[in-house]
Amino acid sequence: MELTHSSKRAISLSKPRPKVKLDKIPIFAAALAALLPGCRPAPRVERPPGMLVIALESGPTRLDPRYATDATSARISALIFNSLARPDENLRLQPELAQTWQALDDRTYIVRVKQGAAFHDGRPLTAADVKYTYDSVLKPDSRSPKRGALRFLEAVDWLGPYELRFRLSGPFAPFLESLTLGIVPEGARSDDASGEQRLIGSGPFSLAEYLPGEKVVLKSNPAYWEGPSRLAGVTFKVIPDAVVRALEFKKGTIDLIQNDLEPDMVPWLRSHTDAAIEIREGDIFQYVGINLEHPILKRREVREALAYAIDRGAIIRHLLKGLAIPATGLLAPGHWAYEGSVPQRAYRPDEAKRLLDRAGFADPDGEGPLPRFKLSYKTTNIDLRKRIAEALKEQLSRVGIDLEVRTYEWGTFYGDVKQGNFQLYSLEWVGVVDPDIYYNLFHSSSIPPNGNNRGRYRNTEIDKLLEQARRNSALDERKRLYGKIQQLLATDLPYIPMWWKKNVVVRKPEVRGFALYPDGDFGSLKQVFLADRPTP
Amino acid sequence: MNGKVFLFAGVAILLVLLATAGLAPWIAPYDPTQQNLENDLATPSRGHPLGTDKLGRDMLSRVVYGSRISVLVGTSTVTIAVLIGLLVGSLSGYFGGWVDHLLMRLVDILMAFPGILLAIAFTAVLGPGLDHVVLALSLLGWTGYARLVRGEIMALRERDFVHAAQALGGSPARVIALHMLPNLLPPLVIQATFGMAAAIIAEGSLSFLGLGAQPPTPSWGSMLNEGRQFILVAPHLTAFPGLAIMVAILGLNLVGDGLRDRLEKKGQR
Repeated sequence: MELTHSSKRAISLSKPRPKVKLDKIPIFAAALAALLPGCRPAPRVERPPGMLVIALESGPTRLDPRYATDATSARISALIFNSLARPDENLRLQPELAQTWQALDDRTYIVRVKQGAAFHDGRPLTAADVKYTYDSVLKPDSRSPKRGALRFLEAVDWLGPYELRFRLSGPFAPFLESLTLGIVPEGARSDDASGEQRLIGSGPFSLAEYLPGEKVVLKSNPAYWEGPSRLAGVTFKVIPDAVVRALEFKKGTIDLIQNDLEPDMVPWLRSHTDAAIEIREGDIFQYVGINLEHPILKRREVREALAYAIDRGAIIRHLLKGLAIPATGLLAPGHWAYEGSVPQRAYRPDEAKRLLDRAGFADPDGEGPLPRFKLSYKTTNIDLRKRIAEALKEQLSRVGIDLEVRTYEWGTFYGDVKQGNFQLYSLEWVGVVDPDIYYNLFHSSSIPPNGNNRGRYRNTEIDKLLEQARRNSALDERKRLYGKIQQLLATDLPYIPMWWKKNVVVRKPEVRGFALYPDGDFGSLKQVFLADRPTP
Repeated sequence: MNGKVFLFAGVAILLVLLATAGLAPWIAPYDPTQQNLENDLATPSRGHPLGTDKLGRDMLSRVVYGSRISVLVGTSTVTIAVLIGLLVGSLSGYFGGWVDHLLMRLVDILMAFPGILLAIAFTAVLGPGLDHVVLALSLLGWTGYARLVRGEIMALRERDFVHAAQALGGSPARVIALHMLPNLLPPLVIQATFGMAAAIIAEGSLSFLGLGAQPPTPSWGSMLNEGRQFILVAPHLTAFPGLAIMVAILGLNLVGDGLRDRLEKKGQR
């Protein structure tokens, strides 16, 4: 899952107005006219008692679980829909709709579905709904982006009202992760986004209102099979501007903000509001992606030099206000397959210069203004990203590399990245459950459009290890193989690991029961309740 | 009397603005792009009289260098726009007829578009950058000058000295350049002053939207945008560039108003 960003911003400018005749100077008149819509007040959110209001930087794009791929969409979709299994706070898969799962052999699994679960319209959820959901993703004309990830799945057979057989085309250890697909009722259409307003799931909340780009209102499901939520519902309000989010929280119109905060606002919120603030280490992995077909970047010394030249500590301390930990690789220390003993590259600009010299890229004028070479770096136009890019530019210039920063709105940027149209870019991976993601990112057969190996990394040893690890279902053996893979990747650097973001939640003190998931999931909302406000 | 004081104040502000822009490397205490992450969001102090921004860059140096962008964009935009406006306006006013019709309809079409939106579309297509901002603003800003020049020329065309010049065999170019131009300079100068103010604001708006000056180039508009995120924790990031824009525009408007009072009065005599 990748993080998305909305590039939409509320603009409100107030600049001194010159005393001019408007009819004579059309540009200025138009400038005023253009700025007026930005001054429109934010839409008011009605607040019935027991309603929890959460602010988001950008809204979801699709809530249908078969289509929800970006982080925000997936998080909200998971409140409306249940899946057979779901990762817990430690990202270990726990049964949800599934009663049990059992491997008959290395390519056949029997899944029993719990009885008693029902959709929001009262219809019981049975094996037929599960089969329908998987079939509608797998059918040849399906446009679900999740189809690729389920390629290994040959068929889902209905064995009885609460029993299914999953048949795989070959041994596939990460199979269980495919049980996290949200289950839709049999017959639910999937082809158009207009049906998004009437989605019916079986989760703790039902969809009451969905205004794309503005808000999503969820109502508590009173008949929820695990017991109803103590909230009346949850409103996700999209507020693109970080300052406005903080001000609305201060005003009391927002109850909770998770992660969508400027790092510098956290101390301000602490001192200017009664917010309860919690910070917990997370596993959202930020990295710099590299085009390995670029004549300069395909040299390993150069990639190593880049890693040595980046002062991640300074960026984390100052730009991120300590809300991150330098990363050694994609998997965070809390993950079962995490391998800590890998080559690491702390900030050593001299070593970077030495490596670049050795690679044959001598600095033409020593400490002078001429660079050794020029690279372009793509990022989104989110302010924090731009600031990080500027800091990187400065740090790389110290070792003689001229970094040209290009910022784009999310859609353009993501399109370029997916097509491999970049030299360097920065992005993050959110919610890595199974380490098989490495196959998708670094196997030579995963080069787009077949996967997400966007840098076009090719390493036969990695390929072999990845294939082995995906076939092997013994956890110890998989851990050993993925450990090896992590060491090789940390040596070869197809990605430059930057940091794992810490998760932050800012909530009103009366909001109780919220737990921070390492991937920023909202899974704990079904336990959240509003305590009585203590009288001062 | 009062008018003179304001005009003088305006001229003084403009001189300071021009001097700051011209002498930026000598006035600014630091390199405006020199980062120092360890000293981010510092409040104004002896070492950094206007504080530092999020990347630890000296705000005074950035505001000083920002004046260069404003002066550069303001003057070049207005120069290009005035030249186009002069050409179109004098052709239209001097020859009248279908030439006038054609050119004025073109002006009408251009004026029908909301200028800044067109400029946004323009820079979005060409790509962000100051050169594109100047191009967009001047290609859209000349219409006002063309109308003004046309009106003046049409009025002058009927004056005796023009008829005399024409009777003596002066070519249209010669008549326009030597006999008419000096007479339409005053209103043109006044409008150009206001036009420069408008161009500086438009550049600020486009840079604020990320379409103008690209980082790390300090422009007042982009500084406002960068500081916006910190308006609650470090208001000096937006206060100083905002103040700079205000003072510069105030200066230009005072000069424009003062000139109008003086030149137009003279014209009435």
